[in-house]
Amino acid sequence: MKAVFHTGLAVDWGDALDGRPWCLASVGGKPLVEHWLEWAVHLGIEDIRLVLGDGADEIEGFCGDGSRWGLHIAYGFLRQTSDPEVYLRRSPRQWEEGLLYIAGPVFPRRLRAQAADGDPIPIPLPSAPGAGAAWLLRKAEGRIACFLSRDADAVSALANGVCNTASEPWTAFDLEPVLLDDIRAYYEMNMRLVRGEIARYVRPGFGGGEGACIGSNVIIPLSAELRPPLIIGDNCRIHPMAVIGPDVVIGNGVIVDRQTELTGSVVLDDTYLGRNLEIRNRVVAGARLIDPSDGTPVDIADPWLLAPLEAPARASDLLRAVGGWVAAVVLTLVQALPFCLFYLALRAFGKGRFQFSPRLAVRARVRSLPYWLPPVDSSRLNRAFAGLSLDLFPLIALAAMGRLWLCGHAPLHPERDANLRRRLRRYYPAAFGYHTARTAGNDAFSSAVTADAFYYERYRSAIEDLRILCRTLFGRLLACMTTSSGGAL
Amino acid sequence: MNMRMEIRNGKGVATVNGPLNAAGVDTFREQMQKWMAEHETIEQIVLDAGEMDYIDSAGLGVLIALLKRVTERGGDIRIARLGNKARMVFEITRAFKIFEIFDTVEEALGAEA
Repeated sequence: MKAVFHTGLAVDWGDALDGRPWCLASVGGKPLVEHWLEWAVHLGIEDIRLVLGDGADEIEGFCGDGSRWGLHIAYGFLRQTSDPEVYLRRSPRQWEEGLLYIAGPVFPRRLRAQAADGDPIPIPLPSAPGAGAAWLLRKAEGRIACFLSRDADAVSALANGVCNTASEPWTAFDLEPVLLDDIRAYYEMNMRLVRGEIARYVRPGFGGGEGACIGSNVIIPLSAELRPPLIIGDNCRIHPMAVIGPDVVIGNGVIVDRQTELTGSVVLDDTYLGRNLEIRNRVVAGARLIDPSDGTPVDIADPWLLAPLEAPARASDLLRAVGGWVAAVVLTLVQALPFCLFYLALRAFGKGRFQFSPRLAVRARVRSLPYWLPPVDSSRLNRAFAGLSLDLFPLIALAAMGRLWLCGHAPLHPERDANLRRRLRRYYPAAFGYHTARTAGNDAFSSAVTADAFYYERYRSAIEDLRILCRTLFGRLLACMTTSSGGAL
Repeated sequence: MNMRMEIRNGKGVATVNGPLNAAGVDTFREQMQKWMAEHETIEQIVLDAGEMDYIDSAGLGVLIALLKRVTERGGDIRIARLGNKARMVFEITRAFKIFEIFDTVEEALGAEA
């Protein structure tokens, strides 16, 4: 049995999503297409055909080959003007063993609660389907939005556009597909999911208290307030004094700036919410604010209020490059002598060494960058070495040689960080970044690299670079001075 | 951005035409300051936003600065005929809590302080 999912069909409310493919719109914290794939997994279907149209690259980038779900996904294309069933007619023998077909914004709503052990209850297809038995969901104009059958004649009727049989009850699968035919239905489904009104649904992310699901790599300062129920996706950054919730679904890679209050809203992936805003009962997609009650979209042209998190090339990058290079040369000259003295002493006492790691440097060249590896019991000499930021000297020297930026992103690993690199529009591998500004050589914050990368992509400026530089140099010095008492050489 | 000022019922009415954004705030500020200096006795000002396409954070900033000046001389600023787009900006930036918003200029002119 196979599944065919159409993602390229025109959907009225999809046009309001600021150019994003509607099948990647978050429903309860997961893209709609992921709900379909999980449904296929539950039905025991492994072979999936995704028929693409607009936004094909993004959809293919998200789904990949399907191995993430244990599926095999093949891709097809269809012109928007074509009848969606044309794809089925191309090779009718493929569907003889049965077909799960979705051609529209269908959400597979589950009806029963999870099993006691938390595992989803398997919902296999009926083993002996009756002749012509088919489960159907139709759109308002009568076209098929969702179809499930193991009967070859029923599938053939669907492909030929003559599927006039009555639908069997979906409750046989403990499931009822819901057509999200307008933005209000989309919004309300999100609200029902976040409030937990629809049972048997495994929420994404990790628990953040009762009714709060928070994804990985999310930075939430202590002064930010979370009011469940809420869902926050991966790689998000919440700023101090922001208030999130109740009834909020936040997608992946979202930045919520200081003192912004967000309630009863859905925020799609890669959106920036500016400072001191109050957003209630809205769908936010990049710079677009949508009122779900009537679907009115309003584009906010001010990037300090709302913006999609994509960084346009800036002329000021040239200024940053020149200023950073001058500063790197000065720092290299200032640090050269102390570095030599300290490094020789540390090597003589066997107190640490540089370890080389392959990283993506400027112009995407892979270089082995030296990272200081101190011993576990850090000595005074070692703390002084880090306090004076001499452990960064080789990276600063590389910045002076034009191999790195002075301030910017943490240099990414060519393989381990490949996904992150693909998602970044602009990449500035640098000696100094948020990763060095936090605390001297502390890897405990390495999980924040992704959120930092997106944040820097948006906020980079000469002033931000200066802030990073000062916070790293003075922060490390201060940390060294406050912890230098006691300890061996 | 173009603007014109007039006096109706002893109150100033500022009609803004076009977007009140970073490109237009200097013009708006200068013309308002000049007009207020020429009409020191006028306390109440109504901003007719019916022809204002859009407002951004810079535009809101200049309105808040103007509100401060007008309040200092015992007056007030009211906003009338906000369009959908500008209304959304007023909503999300909490400017609704700072300014009084009216559907028509007449309502704004007639309302008691």
